[in-house]
Amino acid sequence: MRQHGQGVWAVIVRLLGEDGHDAADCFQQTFLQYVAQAERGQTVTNPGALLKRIAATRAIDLVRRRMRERSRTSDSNPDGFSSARSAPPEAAMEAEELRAALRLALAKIPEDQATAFVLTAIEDVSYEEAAAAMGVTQNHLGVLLFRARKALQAKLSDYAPEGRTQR
Amino acid sequence: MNKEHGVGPAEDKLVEAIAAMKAMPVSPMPQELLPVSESDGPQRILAPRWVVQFVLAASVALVVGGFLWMQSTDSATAFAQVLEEVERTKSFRAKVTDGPRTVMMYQLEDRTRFVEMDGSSETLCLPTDNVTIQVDHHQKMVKRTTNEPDRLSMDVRRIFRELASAAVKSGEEYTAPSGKQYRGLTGRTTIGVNKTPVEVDVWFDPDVNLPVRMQLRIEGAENPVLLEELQFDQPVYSEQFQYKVPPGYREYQHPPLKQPLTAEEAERIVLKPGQGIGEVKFGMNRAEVIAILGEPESSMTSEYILDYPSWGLQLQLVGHQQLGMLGIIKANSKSQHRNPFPGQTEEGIKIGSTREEIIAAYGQPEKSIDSEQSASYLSYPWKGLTFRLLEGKLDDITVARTP
Repeated sequence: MRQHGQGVWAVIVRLLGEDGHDAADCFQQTFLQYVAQAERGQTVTNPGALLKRIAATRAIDLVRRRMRERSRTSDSNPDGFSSARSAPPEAAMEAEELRAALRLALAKIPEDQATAFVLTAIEDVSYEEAAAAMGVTQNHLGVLLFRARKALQAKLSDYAPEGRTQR
Repeated sequence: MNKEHGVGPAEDKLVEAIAAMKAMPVSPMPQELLPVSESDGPQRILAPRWVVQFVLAASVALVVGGFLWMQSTDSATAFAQVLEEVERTKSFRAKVTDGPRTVMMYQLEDRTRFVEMDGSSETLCLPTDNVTIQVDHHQKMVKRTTNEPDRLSMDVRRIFRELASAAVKSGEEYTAPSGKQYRGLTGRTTIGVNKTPVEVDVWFDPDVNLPVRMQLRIEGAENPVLLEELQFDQPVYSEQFQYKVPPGYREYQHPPLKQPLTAEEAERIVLKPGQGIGEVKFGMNRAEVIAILGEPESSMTSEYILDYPSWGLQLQLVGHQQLGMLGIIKANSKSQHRNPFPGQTEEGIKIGSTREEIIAAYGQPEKSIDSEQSASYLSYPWKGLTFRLLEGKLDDITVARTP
């Protein structure tokens, strides 16, 4: 945990957009799932990549659940993220809104595509390690990444410079 | 980043989003999340000012890194792009060369039409109706048959999808007669219900990410199958795939089956892996086979097929280095228009034998396949033997000439 903890924490915080209780829960669940898999005798050649994969999957799933919850309760925050943080400085506002748009887009594409994208494009895991962590061939990973990219581009094309998505 | 670099607005936005995500300040992992035994005191806390300065300094590199990731041209991504474009298409046509034989192939969704280049015959494959229609323009005859589950399937889209699960790497480039060069990819997959291994070479046009040429090296086949002049979404009309007996043509009627062979006669037709059946040997030509077995019963077949449905036998004259020589013998179980093969192999295996009996006779198969159609296959490629079983009983035997 000491060796990989910060890396896992970073994945979760980036995807959730916060470092509060939900992030801590997600962090602990990630390591619990990792330990459970290890106890089942599953061979792990790259623990770091596997932990990041589990963390990404759990974090994206949490984002989806938040979106569903907000749509049921008609939350007034269309971005769907916790406003626990204080308003960021003006200069960083656009970057934060872009990150929020990407998180929403990731939650709307298939889980395997989102996980593949997070691991390689954001977390800089190599294709070989990401494929091994996801249990797919590198070529299949390439297909997932291509589809993820196309889908995310389409969803981000609705992102407006003012910081509000069109739909 | 702009269109001069081949990146459009949508890609710009994604690149920026990736950079923004990577640049996001991340707090240190809370100490309380560490197990007590791992904790060795307070962690060094990064000063927020230092983090912001680092992010600003690295932002350009992150954007460039995101751009380079987006523009990756490694084989996995290149193949994915080709697959994406192929899956968008509804139809394609190609010239297919298999040894000395060349046909034009037309596909509209899952329907396929093969037309001999000399116009002598054509074949229509309609999976939805589970039927194959052969039209012989010389004999002015149409034959309609139920699809056999082990019929070779050349669904280009399915080949590509299955390639996606396998390793694909860069292959040799192809230079067309026009001088244009096409990038090559190579990989392995399987083809047909028997899942025969095949090496696939694909050359594609990078301007549209669609294949222009494919070569299939099917395991056990003497020559590769070459698909050239691939054209996607060119006009292919549904009328070309409708079954209709042309005016002046007659529909083939299956001849009545003769009496089955007696037990004594059946003892003389022993299947011998690597050799042939009875006195008929692999490598014999049509005339030599007919001299031993008699004229084939079915008149509506290719000149390369000798069909004896009364005996449950079909002999195929395949072989491209020696055209028209016996290469495959198939023995079948009872069906609507065929008697069951009454003979057996040298090792005593016959129609109705069990999986255990086959393995006892030949050992563990080199390949064992469970088909979606609930048939299973035991294959011994080096012996040229394939057994198809239905509900655990031998239903079909294929004996092929081995190299």
